[in-house]
Amino acid sequence: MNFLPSEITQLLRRIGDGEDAAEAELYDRTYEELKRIAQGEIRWEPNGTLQATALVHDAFMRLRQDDGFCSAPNRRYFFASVANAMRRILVDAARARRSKKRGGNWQQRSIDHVVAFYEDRDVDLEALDEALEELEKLHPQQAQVVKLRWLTGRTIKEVAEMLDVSTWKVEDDWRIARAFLYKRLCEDK
Amino acid sequence: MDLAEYEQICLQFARLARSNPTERARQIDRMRVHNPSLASQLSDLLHYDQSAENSGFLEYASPLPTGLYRDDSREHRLDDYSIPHRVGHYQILAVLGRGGMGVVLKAWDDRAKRHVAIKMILPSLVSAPQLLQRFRVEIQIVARLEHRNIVPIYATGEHDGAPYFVMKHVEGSNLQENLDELDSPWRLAEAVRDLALAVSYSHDRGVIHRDLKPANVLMDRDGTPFLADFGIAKWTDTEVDLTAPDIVLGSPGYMAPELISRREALGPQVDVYGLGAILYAALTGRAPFVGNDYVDTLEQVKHRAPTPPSETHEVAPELEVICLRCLAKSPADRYPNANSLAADLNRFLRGEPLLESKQQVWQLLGNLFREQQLSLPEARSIGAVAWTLAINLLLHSFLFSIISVNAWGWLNPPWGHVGLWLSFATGLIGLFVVNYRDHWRDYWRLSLPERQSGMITLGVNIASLFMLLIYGPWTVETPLTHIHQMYPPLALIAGVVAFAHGALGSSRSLLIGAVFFPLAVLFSVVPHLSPLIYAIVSTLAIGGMYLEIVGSSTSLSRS
Repeated sequence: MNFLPSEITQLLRRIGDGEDAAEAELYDRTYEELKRIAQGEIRWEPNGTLQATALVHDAFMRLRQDDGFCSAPNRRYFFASVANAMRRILVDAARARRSKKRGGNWQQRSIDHVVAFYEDRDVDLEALDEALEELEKLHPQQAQVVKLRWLTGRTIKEVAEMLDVSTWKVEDDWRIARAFLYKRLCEDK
Repeated sequence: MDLAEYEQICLQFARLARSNPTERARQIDRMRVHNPSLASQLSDLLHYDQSAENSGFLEYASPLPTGLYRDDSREHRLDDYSIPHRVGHYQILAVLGRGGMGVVLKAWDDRAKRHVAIKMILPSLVSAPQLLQRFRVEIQIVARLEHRNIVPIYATGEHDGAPYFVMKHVEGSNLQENLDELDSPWRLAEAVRDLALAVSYSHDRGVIHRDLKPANVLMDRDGTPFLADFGIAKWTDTEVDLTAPDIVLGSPGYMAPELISRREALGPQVDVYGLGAILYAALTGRAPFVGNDYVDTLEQVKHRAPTPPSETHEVAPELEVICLRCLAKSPADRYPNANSLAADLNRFLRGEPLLESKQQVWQLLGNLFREQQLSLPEARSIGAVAWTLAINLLLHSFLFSIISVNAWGWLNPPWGHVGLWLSFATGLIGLFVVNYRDHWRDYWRLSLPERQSGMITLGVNIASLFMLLIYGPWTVETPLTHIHQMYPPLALIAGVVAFAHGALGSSRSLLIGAVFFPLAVLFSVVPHLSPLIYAIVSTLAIGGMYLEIVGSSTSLSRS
């Protein structure tokens, strides 16, 4: 990630002060960064790791050192915007991949690997996105849990800390939401 | 679906998802009657919950780096580049644990479409021949064990020269992280019994685990315990001990003393100790020994007796007895094998007295003046005890009064006799009713000690009936004082009853019994006072005994 930890901290502080524009800005910045990484050509490390993953990893490691990043609400803002960005990138990539597949030749990007992963498992990312939108209307907190857990890979415990609720609650929300989404997905087929 | 409806579904889902399948089906069936649409939506969602879980839906960690903030959750993420991202047809998802020589990884099995756990030797250690050999032995050991409480092995293989094996992934947590989950004494006893049976099974196949501790017990979502990590297990039938001498690097607080000194051959009692240590940890939330540092802990393990759990926590006395017996320093003082430990836990679960307990009679006598260890199921309802005592007191003091009054010539025959027989009839019927309601009506649902206690009471009531036949003043010519002859045998019976109850748990009963026997002598010396003395002494003694038992078991069930 190109933008500096201090920059993110600054943005987070402004969000904390209730500045809506800062939230939008954080989202835009995260989205741009993630897209840049996701659309990059795949680079493999000798041991088979995706280079993009390693890149983001480093950025997070640097952020972690930063005091401003440590509080639960700050992390929540940050991961929420990462999750939203990730969601958009995934859906876009899935859509693009579908049309390009029909068109034939296309260049593999790192995000395509992720999309392929879901294709292998017969998960329609676009349908999933719609179902998630529906869930957002019914139960915003459950949608939030799904996004944090699935799109940013937080553990149940971390999500609970970020949202400041019990792990029991998060686990319940996760299970119901997952069942809800899975049901929608299966019904669509 | 509207908001209110979804809210309702969420509420019920959370409740149902945690109950077992039969209970779940029952509740949904009941719901179908008054709210069929909610019931069908719920059963639908629960079905999808299961299939989402089974197919690993949304489980794949995102392409973003993950879990960098805390390391204390069970699932460490793949932050170590030396761990491969794919092993054969297994996609590695997370690091579940890391030991001295290997890692345990969570993975997705592409072919079987399920989550698995893979134990793998650390790539950096592949060149150490002794460790490789050790790891291969572990694979052989685990492959030989098939038990419903031992984590099963699915496959073995090699990746870039590093051997690995694939196990069932137990969805849940290890016991170390959830010690407080087993807060009910019965759930705890069940879990440790299942583990003891698994250990006993592995002993029968010649394998000693040697590293039993809460961290090596996995609990799945239904609360079934699984024994894991046979990393330093040993064949009983080989002389060769492949374990490196530095195995004392584990968690010394849970280690059996003979594992440290290594002076004697290690037998199955090592694992009996380990099971006791697990029980101890679940009772108290900590290892049996916690020293200031490593060496201090080792010293304590070797020389100090563990603090009885009851000193710091409220625990079922039977579990404490079982636990401390497992933790005896000398293997000979422990349960001879895991099976007898399981049997004793079963006795606790059925409410029977512990047979394996090595309490000697002199220890029992020593307990008389110490704090009591009362048996749990001995709790008769306090109302029944109060009734029994009231009837007892009234009957005997009334007898005393009527005999005295009669002796002073204030009653014309046959009114003294009529009064005496009426009071006997009322008293005996009263006692039968009270005991019937409290003991005999639900006889088959009672625990063994409760049945025994009920039978003793029945015997006493029948004996009283027969004593009336023998000593009762059947004719008007027989003086009422004839009944005084009943009291010495009655005192002796009371003594025997108190002794019998002593065996059921309250050792103070022995003291009470000991009072009744000389009372029989006293009754034959001063017969005319015997009804009064008997009324007072029996009320105080039996009342005190039961109050204590009832008090102790209600305090236990509250805890």
